[in-house]
Amino acid sequence: MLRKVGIVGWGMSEQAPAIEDSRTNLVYETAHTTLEKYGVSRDDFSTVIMCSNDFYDGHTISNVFTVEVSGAYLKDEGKVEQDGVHAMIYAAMRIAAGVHEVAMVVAYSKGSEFEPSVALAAQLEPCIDRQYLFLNDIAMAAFQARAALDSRKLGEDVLARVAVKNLGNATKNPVANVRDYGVSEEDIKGSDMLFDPLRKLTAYPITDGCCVMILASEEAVKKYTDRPVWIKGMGLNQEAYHLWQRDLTRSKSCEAAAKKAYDLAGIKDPAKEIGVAEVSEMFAHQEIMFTEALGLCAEGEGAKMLESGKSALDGELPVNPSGGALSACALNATGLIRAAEAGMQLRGEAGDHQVDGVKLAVAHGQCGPAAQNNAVVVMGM
Amino acid sequence: MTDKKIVSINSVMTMQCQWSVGKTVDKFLESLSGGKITGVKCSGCGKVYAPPQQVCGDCFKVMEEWVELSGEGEVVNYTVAHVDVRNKPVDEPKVIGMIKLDGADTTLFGEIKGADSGSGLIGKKVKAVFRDKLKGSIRDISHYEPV
Repeated sequence: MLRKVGIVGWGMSEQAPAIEDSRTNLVYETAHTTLEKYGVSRDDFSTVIMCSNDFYDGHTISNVFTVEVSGAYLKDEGKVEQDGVHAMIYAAMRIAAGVHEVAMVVAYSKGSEFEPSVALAAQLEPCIDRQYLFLNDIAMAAFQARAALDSRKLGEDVLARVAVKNLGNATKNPVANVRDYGVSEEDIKGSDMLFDPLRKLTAYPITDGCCVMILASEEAVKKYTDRPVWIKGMGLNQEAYHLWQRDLTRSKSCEAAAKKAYDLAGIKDPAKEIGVAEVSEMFAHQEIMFTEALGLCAEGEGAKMLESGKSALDGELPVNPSGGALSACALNATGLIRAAEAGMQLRGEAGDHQVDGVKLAVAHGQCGPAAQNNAVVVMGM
Repeated sequence: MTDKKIVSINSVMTMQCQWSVGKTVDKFLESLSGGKITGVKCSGCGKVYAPPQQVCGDCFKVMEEWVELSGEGEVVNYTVAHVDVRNKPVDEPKVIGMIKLDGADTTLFGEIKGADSGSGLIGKKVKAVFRDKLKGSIRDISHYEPV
């Protein structure tokens, strides 16, 4: 990268089924608290990248209302509608390019105030795919789940085992308060079927939440912290919209995004070099696909990594010690929360879900039908 | 501080949207209104798209050669919908397949009736069943059933 980009810090709201407050105040409280915590003043940062979505917000160009509360007033501000990791990467590019010294990233949504599956069904092609009237985001992911399980000769039980690991981890995460995390594998297998093989507890929960992150150049970051987390590598990639056009058994776009990020970071063997991973598994089968795509295990061995306990909180390479997207999934913010969690692991600030001795971490965000688009950041101290 | 619940306000305007489907999809919908499924063939790679699209992504060529498909094909993937698009439970779960029609390189989605879901469904031969009244919509195909 042209210039090193450091992370000053991050902050997140509680992630809850419903936060009884306005979207704007949710952004203000999260941004303001975080700026105060790290001693960053409103005048210190010159750019803000938002991640929100007009459909979720029920406004056109919804960032017109988050200008003041995010500190973007009279500044260079932009918005992405993908995931907070995309926003983080755009902000990092602005710093790497030398255009800005300090940048703020803000991602949020309030799932309680719209219908996520209806908004995500509106991502589908309108003239044919939406006209069927039976497809939404979960249906699209269910086809991917079927392909992922069948190609690996896995039964549906493995989906419950991904969920029981991640929901169990979430019991140690104080900000995740969306669903009952003390459930057994049997409870998960008995939860309501949505689109077979995906059930209520193997799909993301509707969530309200906000996450912010402050990025700075190598020079500027020293003003705020003597323990910056560095963005070592980043990558974005997307594949075809149409499911028939993709190999649904794997995530080629996540593989390509990861390759770009690892190349920039100089990582040759992620399975050995990465100490912790936070991935946006909105559906249980995706954790298996993403652990493979991120090179955390060999191709086709994602389930083995889970079953062997390697990806458990006390395993050799923990995946989603925070509980991941199955435990809390404020759309837009989900991936940025993964990156913030990765940062907490690197700084040793993850409390009860801390993993020992993490030197390098990978965080992942996604968007689009059946994870069409993936974003990856590699972070280290 | 009071315990008063913070007020929520409902949206007061809704907006209908329309999409001009374009010449290519228009022709496809027209064929559906006549009880036929058609696709377009790429002159570059020979791939047949049904539903059709204007440009082949691989070849970046406009596709203009139309082919008529038999309406028979095979199930390549499926899910069972226990909920509707709003994730509300439905009385009768629906089997929904990705169906690759003979002669096409793409898939259509569709409800499958008269076949059990399960591992035996993938690879099963099915045929499109049209509704009685055809309107020039993808919903003119009522469902698919085993051949």
